[in-house]
Parts: sequence; C-alpha cells; structure tokens
Amino acid sequence: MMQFLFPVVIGALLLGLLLHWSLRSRSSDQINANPPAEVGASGTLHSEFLPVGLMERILDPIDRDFTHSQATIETIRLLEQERRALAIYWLRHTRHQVRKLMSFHVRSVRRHVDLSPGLEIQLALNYVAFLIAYRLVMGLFYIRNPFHVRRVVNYIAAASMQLCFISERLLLIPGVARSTGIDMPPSGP
Amino acid sequence: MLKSMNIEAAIADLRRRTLPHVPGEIGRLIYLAATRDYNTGKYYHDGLASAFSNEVANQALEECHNEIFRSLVESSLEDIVGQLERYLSSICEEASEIIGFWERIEPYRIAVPVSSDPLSARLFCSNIKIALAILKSRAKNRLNS
Repeated sequence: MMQFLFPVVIGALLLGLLLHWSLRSRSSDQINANPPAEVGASGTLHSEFLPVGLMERILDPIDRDFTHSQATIETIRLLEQERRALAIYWLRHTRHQVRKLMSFHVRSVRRHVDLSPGLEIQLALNYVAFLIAYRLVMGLFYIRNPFHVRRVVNYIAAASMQLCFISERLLLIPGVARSTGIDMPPSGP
Repeated sequence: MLKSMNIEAAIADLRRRTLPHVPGEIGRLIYLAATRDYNTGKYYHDGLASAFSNEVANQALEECHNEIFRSLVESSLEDIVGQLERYLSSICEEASEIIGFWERIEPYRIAVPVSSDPLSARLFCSNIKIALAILKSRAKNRLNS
C-alpha cells in the first residue's frame, strides 16, 4: 500500500504546485494589465538619465590646468570640491535611474518566460559591473582628486548606456511590449 | 507651420538686431533671463511682440536663452572667466564690488533657463562661482604687485 501512496502524494504535490503557478501567473497578468510606472504615456521608458557628455566637460583636465596656472591654492581646492560634488550628484542620479530600469526589467521578466537568455545574462553582468564600478568610484572620490578618476566615471557612463540599450532591446521583444502597453516600433523597411 | 516660421523669423531678428548690442555671452544670458517674468516664467519683449506676437516673442526669447545657456555650459572654465571679465568690464561699477555681491547673493542662479537639466544648471552655477574666485584672486595679485 505504501509503495503506491508515495508516488501518488508526490504526483499530487507536483500537480498542486503547477496549479498554483498557473493561477499565480494569471492573477499577476491581471494585476499588471496596466503599464508599469516607468512606461510613459507615449509608450517609452521614462529616461531621466543626465547628459553623459557633460561628465567629460566636468572632469576635463583643461579646467584643472587652467586653474593651476591662474589661481591660489584655495581656488584650486574650490574647483576640486565643486567638481567632486557634481560628479557625485551625477553618479547618484545615474544609479537611481539604473535601479529603476532594473526594477522595471525584473517586473517584466516575472511575467514572461520567452525572454532571450543571452540578453538576460548580458544585462545581469552589466548591472554587476556597474555596481562594482559605482562603489569603486564613490570610494575613490573621497581619497583622490576627482580629475584622476575620470576613466572609471567614463566606464560607468558607458555601462549605464549599455544597460539602457539592452532594456530597449528587451522592449522590442513582442510579448513584453504587448503586456506593458508599449507601442511596437515599426519593424524594418 | 506658419507659427514655426514666425518663431524662426523672430529668432533671426533677435540675433541680428538685439543680441549683438549686448556684450558677451554672459551679458546676453542675463539680458534674456531679465526678459522673463519671475512669476509666470514667460518671456516678454515689446519690439518682438509688436512685430510678431506675444507668444512668438516668448518662444523666440526662450529658444535664444536656452541656446546661449547650452553654449556656456559646454564652454571651458577659461572661456567662462573671459566672458565674465568682459561682462564685468561692461558695467559702470567697480568690478570688485560686483564680484563681492555675486559671491554673497549668487544672482546668476536666476539666469538658468527653466527647461535646463539639473546637472547643467549646477555646472553653470559652479563654473561662475569658480570664475569669480579666479577673478578675485587675479585682482588681489594685481594689488599686491
């Protein structure tokens, strides 16, 4: 009797689990019928990234060299303080936007199993690299001259743009675009 | 279509007849910011409004204000110091007095266009602050020598 009872219990448990998942995904679809907060009325992601090009201007060594040739040590310190504050502001804002982007992505993934694994891995790696670089540069800003961490800042800018690019590609996946209420862009000529 | 052509014509008029008489980019930025109402954020210019309309004048002034601001934000610190020096020399007041007042009150903050992004606005104000410090230290050096 026990020989038959065990597989039946296991089978019933598995069936119950499948039923639970199926009901959960249905209710989740109903809950998420409205587009997520990150998707605007125009059907695009609310992209509020600050201009990346300005970071090059902010940390341009030309300004540092000019100040060194012109001013007193107080003015040089003022320049460094100001540029550090601007760079930290940009970094924090960028991290906030990237988090918003990832939260949107995670919510989309919960409802779709037909996403591209390649894109998912790429996105995850980029996000981890972004977070590591972010922590590194924030630490460096407190111990080094802001003009010396220009390369890492450029790397962060590139990583955040890459994350945006991958998210845009994600939006092109028909299932995701349909369920989030995003208008599909015209496909090719 | 007609409206956008009018705005283009108003911008051209502004660039040809008004702005060349204002010395330097910072002078122009302050001039354009001064045509903006503090309460509504709308720009007013009697000459442009009579030639075109209030709405067209508002948009033309806003466009020119944004353009000059963008150009200043993208300028190097050396250029900004030069522009500020030019602006200060165009005013019939003692430069050191104006520098002191600007450092205390920071009136240049009001010259930032409403539509500018927060990083550009911060960079502009920061550059003016540093430029003022450089001009102050230059003046001090001149006095010492």
